[in-house]
Amino acid sequence: MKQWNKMAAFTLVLVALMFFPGCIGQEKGPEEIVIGFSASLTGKFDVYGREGVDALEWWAEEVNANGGLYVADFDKKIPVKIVYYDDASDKDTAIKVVEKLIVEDGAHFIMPSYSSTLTLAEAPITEKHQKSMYGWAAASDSIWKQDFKYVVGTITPSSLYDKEALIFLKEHNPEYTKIAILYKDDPFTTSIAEGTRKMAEEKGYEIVFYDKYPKDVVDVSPLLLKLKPTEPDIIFVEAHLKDGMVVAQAMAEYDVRAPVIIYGSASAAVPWYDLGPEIAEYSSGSSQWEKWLELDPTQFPNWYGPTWTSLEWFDMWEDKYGYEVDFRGANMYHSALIVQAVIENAGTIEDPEKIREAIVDLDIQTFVAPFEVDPDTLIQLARGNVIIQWQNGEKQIVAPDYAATADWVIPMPS
Amino acid sequence: MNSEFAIQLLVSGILIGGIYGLSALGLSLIWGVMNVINAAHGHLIMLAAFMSYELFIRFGLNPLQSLLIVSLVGVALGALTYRVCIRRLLMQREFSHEMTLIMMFGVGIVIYGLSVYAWGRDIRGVPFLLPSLTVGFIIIPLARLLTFTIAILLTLILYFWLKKTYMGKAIRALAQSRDAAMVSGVNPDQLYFITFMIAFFYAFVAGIMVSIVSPGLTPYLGHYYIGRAFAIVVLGGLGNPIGAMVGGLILGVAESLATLSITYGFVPAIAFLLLILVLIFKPTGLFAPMR
Repeated sequence: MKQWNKMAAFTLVLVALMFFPGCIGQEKGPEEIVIGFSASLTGKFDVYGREGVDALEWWAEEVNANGGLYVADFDKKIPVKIVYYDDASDKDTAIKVVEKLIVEDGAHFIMPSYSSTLTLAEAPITEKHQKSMYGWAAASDSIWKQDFKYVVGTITPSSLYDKEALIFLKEHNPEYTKIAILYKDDPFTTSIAEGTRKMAEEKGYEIVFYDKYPKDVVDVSPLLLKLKPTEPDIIFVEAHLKDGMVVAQAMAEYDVRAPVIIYGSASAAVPWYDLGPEIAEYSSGSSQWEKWLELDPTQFPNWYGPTWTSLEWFDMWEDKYGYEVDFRGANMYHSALIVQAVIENAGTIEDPEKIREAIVDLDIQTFVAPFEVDPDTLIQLARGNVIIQWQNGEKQIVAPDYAATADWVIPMPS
Repeated sequence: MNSEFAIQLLVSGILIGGIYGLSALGLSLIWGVMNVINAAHGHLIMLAAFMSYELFIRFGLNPLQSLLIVSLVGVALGALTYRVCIRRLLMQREFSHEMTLIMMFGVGIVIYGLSVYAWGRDIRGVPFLLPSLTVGFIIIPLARLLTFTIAILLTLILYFWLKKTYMGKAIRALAQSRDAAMVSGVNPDQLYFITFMIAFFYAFVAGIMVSIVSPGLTPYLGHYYIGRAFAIVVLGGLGNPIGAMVGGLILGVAESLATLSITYGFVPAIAFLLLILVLIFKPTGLFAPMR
């Protein structure tokens, strides 16, 4: 009888284990942390989309080589998995991709498509599902004026593009007091111009010229002739590369000068020097990231992630992928590191409120840039662009001081 | 704003107006003589500008040095386009202008696509900076003066060629009445062929001039010029080189002087404002076609 009782008890235990396998052996929590990315692999952003994928996959390789990310809720390390689909650089497709990533692939965190426009279009989807989305390629301030709760700014917002330039010039060249701002009539550059004007006025500068030129500009000489008599000390040209080149050449032709001329992101692009040394030499610009950015981890108590320099990372990228990375790849890697820090600090990958709290509390410095957001809007606050100046055909970082690779040559030599 | 500033704006407008006029000449010629609307015209300007860039990168030729090579390529491309794409359509009994418009639209897309394939979407630039002259209070950039002079010379050459030479007269006769011209012994196929080559030549020269005054080359470049070119052709009158040049100068000056009273951001609308005004008050354009 006892034997029968033992056998019955053993059978019951076996049956229980069949129906409740979680009681033994199997660990809690998902097998993977899914990072969903709406990647623009075709269409007008194809090059940038590919750079984003490469950066994200490299980050995942590094994380998984260490066994994944520690998630306190499950008291274990969980590997990350990157899931991405091509959005064809198209708004409607991008929205569908993000929906699919969340609903079908169970993405815990979202990397949006390239550009502010696509990020903005995708935001309602991530908001609906309460998934945090990290704007690795979205700089337009307008995104953070929509009362979204889970859209995180990781790069310099357009309104702060000239922050470091103004801080530097106010400190080192207080004799310059008059500013002219010339900008392209599109939402992004207009937002930069508005931000620069606001910051400049707050710092006590006099805005002597503020005007825009059309998007498809072929000649800006009339506008420059209007600017010239205002005799500014500093000229900000908020431009993209093409129109920036048009402005720079016309400035040279019509002898429009100032001690400092900053061509926004236009002059930070490598083809800028195609204009020739007569125009490009000593022109300045602002950039989200430069490979020459060499930060000393010991100088930053809040340093997070790899301690390699940007140049080391740049070289490793070239060895790994066979092409040169630019600020876009760096921004994606930086954003992935932020996701990593958020997961580790939140201790969860599923609780949206805990994740949001962790984002708000986060104050870190990676090898690319700092990260700290506004607690209400999650717009990026800590980051400012580095200021570059072309010197002897090379881009040099001239501001902020801690990142400078050369002195800012001011005034610009004729 | 003082008068010196206004005069400087006027000079600046005239200089850029020369480029505008030149960029419309080829379009005006084909449209006026053959009644073919060359929707690929802007892309031809872009292609020439990129060829200038390529010759600079590969052989160090500046845009002026590459002018002859690039414009000859333009002539060859004009010949090819006519023979392969347009001739068959023009010679059909059921010829319609819509067919040639669609054909040239297609040619433009092919040129654009191949350019994106060849040069990518990155912005390119050809360094070409000349010093500026200062006459009294007026600054005259030499590069712009040079392109303006070339534009005026080429306009006059085309005008007098159409006016004085046998072939020019035959082309004008053809533009007036194809049937009557044929009765007089004119070979339309041959003259259309020549017209196409000349028009492409002018578009390619315009592309070189554009690369000089407006750096920052992109495959989208054609879009910047095609709208203006259409407005100028309508403004100046079809098939008249002087009309196209004067139309370009008017547009250049209007855009420049507009800075006196309105924001420069409004400038792109001026071409189309002029277009609307001309269509309302003088639909044939300021200059009559050459007869």
